[in-house]
Parts: sequence; structure tokens; C-alpha cells
Amino acid sequence: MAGLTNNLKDHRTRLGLTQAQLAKATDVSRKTINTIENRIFTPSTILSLKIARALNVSLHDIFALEEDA
Amino acid sequence: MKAETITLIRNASFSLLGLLLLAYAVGVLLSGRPDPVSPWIPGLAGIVTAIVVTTASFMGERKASAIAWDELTRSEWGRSLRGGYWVAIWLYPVFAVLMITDIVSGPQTFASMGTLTGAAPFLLFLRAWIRGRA
Repeated sequence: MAGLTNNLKDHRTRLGLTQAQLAKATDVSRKTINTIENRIFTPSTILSLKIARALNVSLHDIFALEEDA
Repeated sequence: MKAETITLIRNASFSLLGLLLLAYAVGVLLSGRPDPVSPWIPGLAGIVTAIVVTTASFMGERKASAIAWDELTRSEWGRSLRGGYWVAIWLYPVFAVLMITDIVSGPQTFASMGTLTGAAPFLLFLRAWIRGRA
């Protein structure tokens, strides 16, 4: 099964956001953002969409299948 | 109440409960009797924990409670429950051997298996907390 990779940290830092600020914008804990960035936790589709919206980018800009990355 | 506070209260309560249940089970095995302390303590501790965690969740804003129980937390709690299930299953052969070899008695087995089964998910959740996942 293909894993999910992401460049969430790049997009977040580009906007000058902290993990806590992004967490607040997406109604989750800072740990959740941290574990997503470190590829420990795979977020749901809904949370992924919320993150993409908060960062004003497409879902595909942040997340990709490992085999496609 | 902030989400971080609710999270801290929940995680600390769960951890204390897990450790207390583990201590009771160890006490049973070390003392050689099924009630090293009052047998009501594990059950009462569970009820108190449920009251504390529920109260803390309701004292915060709805959004704060939702953040405290966000999908990472729910995922880790689910993982802890699944791990706890397997711990409970494996306790049967372990205690069967202990009983067959007369290391522990039937009443001791009942008391320690029960409390270890209860402790397992909370201790696994404590591990997730220590690892920064809850």
C-alpha cells in the first residue's frame, strides 16, 4: 500500500505560520499538525481539506502518494 | 477551559488510572491474595476518572473539547483500545500457565487479570502521550 507524503511544513513556514496557529485555524491540536508534518499521522480527508484551505493551496500541493513524490 | 487544559486533565487522569490498576494487579501477585487493598478501589478509581474527564470536557467550550478530542487523539485512543484487546487475549495463556504451575490461585488470577485488562488501554495511551501523540 502506498504511503502518504507531504510538504506541509514548507507551505506553513512560507506563510510564516507556527504549528499552533495552523492548528487553531483548522480546529485541531498542535500535536496533530506536528505528527502530520513528521509523517507519523495520516489526516482524514476532511482535515486535509481544512489544512489546504487554511494555507490557501490545493490539496495536491501539500499531499502526495509516496510513489509519486 | 482551554483545549490544552482538558487534554492535560484527561491524559493525567487516564495515566493515573492505568498506573493504579497496574499497581493493584502487581499487589495481587506479590501479596498472594486477591485483595491487597480494598477491592473497591479499582472500580471507584474508574468511576472518578470518568467523572473528572467528562466534567473537564463539559467545562470547556465545545470547540475546546473538540480540539482536545481531535482526530489524532481519537486515533491514538482507538489504537490503545485495540492494543488493550490483544493484551487481554494474551493474559489468558499467561495466567493459565501461572495457575497450572500453582504460582497464582484462581481468585488471584481473577483479580489481576481483571485489573490488567483494564489497565492496558490506559497504559498504552500513556505511552502515546509520552511519545507526543496524544
